[in-house]
Amino acid sequence: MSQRLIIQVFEQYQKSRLQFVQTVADLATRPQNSEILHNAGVMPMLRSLLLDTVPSIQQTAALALGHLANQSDNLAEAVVKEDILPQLVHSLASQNRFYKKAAAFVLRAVATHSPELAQAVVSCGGVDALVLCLEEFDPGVKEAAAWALGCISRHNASLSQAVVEAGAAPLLVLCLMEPEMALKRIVASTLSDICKHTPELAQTVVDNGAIAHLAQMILSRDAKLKRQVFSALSQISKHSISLAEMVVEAEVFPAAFISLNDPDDYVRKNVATLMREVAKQTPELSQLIVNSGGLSKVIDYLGETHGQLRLPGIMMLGYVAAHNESLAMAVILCKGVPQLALCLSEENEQHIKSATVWSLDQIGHHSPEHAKVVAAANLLPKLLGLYMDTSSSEDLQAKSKKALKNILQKCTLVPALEPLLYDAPSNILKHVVCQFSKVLPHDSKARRLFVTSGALKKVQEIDAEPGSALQEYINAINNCFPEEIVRYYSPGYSESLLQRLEGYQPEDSLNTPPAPPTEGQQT
Amino acid sequence: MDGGRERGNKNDEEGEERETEVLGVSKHTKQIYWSNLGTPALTSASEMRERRREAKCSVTFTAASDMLRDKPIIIMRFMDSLHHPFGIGLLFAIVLFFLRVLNASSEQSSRCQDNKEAEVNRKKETQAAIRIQCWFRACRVRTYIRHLNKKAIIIQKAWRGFAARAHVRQMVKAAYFTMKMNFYNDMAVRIQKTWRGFYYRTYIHYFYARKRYLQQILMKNELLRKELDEIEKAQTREKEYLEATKEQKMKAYQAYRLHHLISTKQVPGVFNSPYRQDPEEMELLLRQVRYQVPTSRVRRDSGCLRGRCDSMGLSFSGPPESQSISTKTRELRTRLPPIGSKKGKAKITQTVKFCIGEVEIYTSAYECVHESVND
Repeated sequence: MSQRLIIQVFEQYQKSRLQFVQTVADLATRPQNSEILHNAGVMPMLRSLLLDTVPSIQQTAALALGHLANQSDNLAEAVVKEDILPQLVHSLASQNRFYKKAAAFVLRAVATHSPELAQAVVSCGGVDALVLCLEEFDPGVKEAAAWALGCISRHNASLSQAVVEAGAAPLLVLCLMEPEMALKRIVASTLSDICKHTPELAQTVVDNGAIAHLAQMILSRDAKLKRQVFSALSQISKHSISLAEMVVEAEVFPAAFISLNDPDDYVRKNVATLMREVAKQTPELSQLIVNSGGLSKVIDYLGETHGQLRLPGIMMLGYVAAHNESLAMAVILCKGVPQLALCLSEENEQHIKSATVWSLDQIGHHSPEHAKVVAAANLLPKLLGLYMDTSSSEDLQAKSKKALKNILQKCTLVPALEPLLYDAPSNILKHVVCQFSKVLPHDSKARRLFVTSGALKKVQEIDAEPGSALQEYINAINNCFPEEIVRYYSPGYSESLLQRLEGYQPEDSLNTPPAPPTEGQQT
Repeated sequence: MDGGRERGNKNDEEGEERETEVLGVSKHTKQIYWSNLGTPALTSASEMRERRREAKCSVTFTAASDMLRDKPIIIMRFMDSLHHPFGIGLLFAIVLFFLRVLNASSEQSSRCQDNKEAEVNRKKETQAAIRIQCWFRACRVRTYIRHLNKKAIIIQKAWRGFAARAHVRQMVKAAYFTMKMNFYNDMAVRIQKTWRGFYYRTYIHYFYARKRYLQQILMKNELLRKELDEIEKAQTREKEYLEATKEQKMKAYQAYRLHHLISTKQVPGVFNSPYRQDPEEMELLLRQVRYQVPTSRVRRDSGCLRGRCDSMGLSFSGPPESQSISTKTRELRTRLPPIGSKKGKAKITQTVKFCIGEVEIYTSAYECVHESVND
């Protein structure tokens, strides 16, 4: 009988412990309770409960800790301070899968907040324990471990290096082949986080054969998986030409275009990012993308999306056009310039505008043909407006100035140049006048237009220091016209004529009638 | 005469030395010059002086008288010497001498008188003689210089002609050479021009190839757009199909659960209103269900998150790979738990709560699919 009583006491204690832990776990899920719980001193309690004999209590305690750490930085730091992590890590090796899942959840929750906390996780051997978890059979455990590793490596390169050095990369790639969708997603995002820091890490991941598996998963139906896959591929290909070539060799490209139509926005954005990173590397790769017809899709993509999502598409067009002039001509022919003009007018974000301006610069600066297209789309006054606008950021101003300069140096379209004569500041004006001085000597119609539209008058009014380049250009322009016309339009001509009138005396004032006042010059 | 000549030669030498210093020509040439002249008559001024001295002595009388006797010869010589450059001076000197001689011959006795007269005229005559000599010397020098100049001109002319001709020959050769080289260069330029035009137009910047390439890109773009549109349509169709099947499955499941609402022979069921002509679709579904009595207890397999097919008349088996549905979702429970066992229920709810992270599935045991946000 006493035995039963004693056992009953133990059972009661166990029940109450279990109840306590479960309630705490429930409460911990809500953010408003977490502070109160923390102030009530829940951490040491949970720490001791972690070492409980009953497995379910351990698991529930770990779960509660995970929820708490997830809520805020302070709690995560408290978890770290209480030396809970070494215990967790130590017991990770021995316990069953639920415990592992919960422990991995705790590690993830701690590591998400900041690099220092992640470093704490790493330094107590968390990474090795997590890598051990990756070898488990249970997909849930693997998922939790992979997620935790992803959160650790997200912060900076050294943490990623620690993760890779623990041998996580081959195991992660093996996990990619598992059938579970969630696991694949998480592993793809972890690989993306690892690869984004340095080329060496990307190379390590690639050496384990990640690209082939990622490429296979492009054709899957799951939108979230595709997001992560494209993000991973773009992080790999951004580092170097050889990595980008490896990505392309996996025959990613025509298949990736299909995903540009995907209803999910982030999938499309990541595809555009991938295309941008690949197109950035060499002209041959850009040529590959263009040859497989990617340009039209990107331009459609730009037309359909708004806001931040457009940025990779815009930059992709810029990179393609930057390599050489036939690619720039291809971009123009696919009606890239009107689309970019639309982006420029619709978007309000400064960095998107700078990117658009930069892309236009890359398109237009190759040759007069290219510059003509850009000028004909009425973009030069807009660029000038962006440059002069005081509310534009410095980056935007610098980029628009550079774009204006580059395009103006090649532009020979007179009707497009004329509006710039009136508003431009002197450093831009120099280029405009220079272009006029190049075009006008050869084209008589343009000269006529120049005079009748009042541009000659404006040119005369420009005040330039003698000997400067601007003055030379003005002289070159003036040489294209007969002297009388130049004088007619020069400022102060009417006054000089009047002065001549004052100095004029009729020869014989007695016999001849006084000369009629000179008319026509008094304007 | 010869003695006088010798003496004259000595004085000549002195005079020549002076002259050579002035003129800068060699004594030798001068001597040659003078020896070439060949007139043995009065040629040097010093000889004249000698003659004058001789005239002071009476020795010259005989010479004078000889000269007078040979008048025609003298006159001839005079004519010759007149042609000579020193002609006039010579004439003058001779005239003077002649006069003196005459004077001397007529008044030999009155020598003192002559000497006085001579003394009176001495200064004047000396001056005159100096003048004459000076002029004569000048003439001589000038002749000599003229002669030298002429010869120098001849030499220079010959030399310059020679040098210039050599130079011209050289220039002609060089001009010929440059002409040939220019020709070769022009021809080379022509060849290179043609070759470069051909090469660059075929290999470096083949305009028509570029044009074709750009057109091909546009065509490819269009093709790709069409293909992708088709693929997109196919995908949407598939999605719709999947959704339709899902809905159908749900309905079938509902029918399975609500099987008891089927209409019997006596009593029409809820879905089979007597006021309708045809029974509703639910009724039809209910009729199609092949009900199976649940046999055993629920298997508490909370670790296995994969849904399993049900063995029912209506196939609940979706696509074998659970790719379209999250593995987190609870699919249909395989067996329904016996109604009475609370323990089972409690255990189920517990196991349901043992899930990872914030992915909590608020399912009761009898509800169907709830997808949770995974990211």
